[in-house]
Amino acid sequence: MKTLHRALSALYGLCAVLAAVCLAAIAAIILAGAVARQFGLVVPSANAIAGYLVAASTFLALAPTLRSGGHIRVALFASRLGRRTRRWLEVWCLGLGTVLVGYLAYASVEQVMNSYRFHSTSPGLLPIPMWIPQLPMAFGLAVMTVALLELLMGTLAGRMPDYADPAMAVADEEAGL
Amino acid sequence: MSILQIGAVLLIVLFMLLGSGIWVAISLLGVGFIALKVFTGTPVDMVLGTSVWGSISSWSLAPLPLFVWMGEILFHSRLSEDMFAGLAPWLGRLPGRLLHVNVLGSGIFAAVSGSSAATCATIGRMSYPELKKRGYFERMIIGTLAGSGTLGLLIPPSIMLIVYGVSAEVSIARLFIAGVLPGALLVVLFMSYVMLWSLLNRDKTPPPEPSMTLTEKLRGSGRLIPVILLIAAVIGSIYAGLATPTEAAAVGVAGSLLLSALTGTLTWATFRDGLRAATRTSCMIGFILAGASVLTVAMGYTGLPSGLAQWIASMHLPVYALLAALMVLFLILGCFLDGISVVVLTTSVVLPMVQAAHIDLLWFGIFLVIAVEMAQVTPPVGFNLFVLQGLTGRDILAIAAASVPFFLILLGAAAIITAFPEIAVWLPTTMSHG
Repeated sequence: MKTLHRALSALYGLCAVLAAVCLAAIAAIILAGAVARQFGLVVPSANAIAGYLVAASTFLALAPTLRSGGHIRVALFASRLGRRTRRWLEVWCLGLGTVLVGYLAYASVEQVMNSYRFHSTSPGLLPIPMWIPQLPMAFGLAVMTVALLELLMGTLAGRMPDYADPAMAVADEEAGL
Repeated sequence: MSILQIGAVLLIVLFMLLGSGIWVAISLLGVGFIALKVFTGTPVDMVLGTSVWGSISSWSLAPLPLFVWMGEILFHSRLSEDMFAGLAPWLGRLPGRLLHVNVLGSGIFAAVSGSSAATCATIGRMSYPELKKRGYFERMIIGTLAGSGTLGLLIPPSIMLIVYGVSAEVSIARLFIAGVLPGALLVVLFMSYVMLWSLLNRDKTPPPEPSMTLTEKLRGSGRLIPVILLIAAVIGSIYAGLATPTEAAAVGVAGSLLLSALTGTLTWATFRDGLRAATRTSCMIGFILAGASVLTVAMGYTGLPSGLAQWIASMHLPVYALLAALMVLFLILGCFLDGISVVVLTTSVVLPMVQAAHIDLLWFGIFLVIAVEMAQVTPPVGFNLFVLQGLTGRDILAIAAASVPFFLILLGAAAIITAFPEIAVWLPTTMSHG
């Protein structure tokens, strides 16, 4: 169990790093495009690639953002409950979250497979096979489902999820928004 | 079931999900899922995949993570100190003296940051202890910080305007430029209130600082020049049509990295932390947009927004009455939801109604953002209140009470741009490209 937890934490960490690299790559490719334009050159499909990187960064960061309490929720009522009731509320949130995000992950895996099967490519100068940029979305959502499931199991076993400290969530939002 | 009954059911489900503490993004996804599954006969998995992919892989969303990152870099730089040292020497003679540092500092930081809480935190971190030490009236220190921090949402670059622009399909460049004059109007209104208040409460303003020579003043402000240049490069290039908002944002990231390298605050640790925080914040926003896109598509299938639009149109409400009703709705939502959720809910459900009333969507974006600014200072959920609670250690209700005059000024500003819509929509018409 402990090994599994450690392996999953490493997976979330890897996703966080990849997401950050994707974000930095957006800036890099846009700047490269702007500089190239001054010399009359064109970075092919820079706009489309920037869009794909936004998607990759967003979805890869889902699970690590969940762990650090970065996703916004209305904690108004939850924070007033006693510990016991609160734990059941967390079970409800995590349970429904696992189902819904799991279904979205399934839908996006299906999307990747369809794009692969029907050889869809991106419009623009550089025809990119669509399954490539769609893959990080499916992967990120799958990891998010696993993260929700892991927290659900932990909460059922009696541990409060580590994002659930409302003070911490607020501190995170302060830094971000 | 009639369309309005379906709407009522979905609304109840949405508030149950949100109220029970389910993450905003997942709540939106859930309501969209239920609407698709129960009220339409579409293949839900196909719709889900394409709408989420389409909304997040969009090129028009690219400025969002970049501007968030730029704000993070500057948040960790010395800007907070520089802002105080650069502005304070010039404001000592105005009634209200250094309280104006909060308003002007927020206005300037808002022009490099797209977020209200970050603006509030950056300016407040330095000026709150400094002003308190000098004996300024605490209610006014807190009120000016809470109120003018909200400028981060309106003055470009603005995360909120990007979210609105992406989900309402309005040009982000034009929205940014439309936010400039209303933002300036708010700065003037806030400063006028500070002056008026200090003239009426002379005993509560501490004596002026020892006077400085012009050279000393200029030296203090010198460090602000790079920031001003950065603002000019980012907003100016969008206005002049030299750069798209995404290019301007990428230049802004490069510029702020350079700036923090020059002031010696750029280390591997601050770079990594800034990038990590930016990734997390953009992920949080992107996930909400993804959930909202499912809700929007589901709403389209159920026909609810157009049904609502027809219903409202059939009542032949005057436009002002409709706007007043919407403002009340935004304020109620804003008490419980964060600004981004208010914006995406609005664009999913209310926009057809607004269009049916022939309201300009560019103008409406500014109106909506001012409403969201007010939500930042209303309890129980108001992000500026949370920031100031952390900064001052005061109770959230005391902070909210100190913010009331600024809340009313924001309401007044919404009324002014309703009476004179040109304040928002004139400047974008002068842009060379739009």
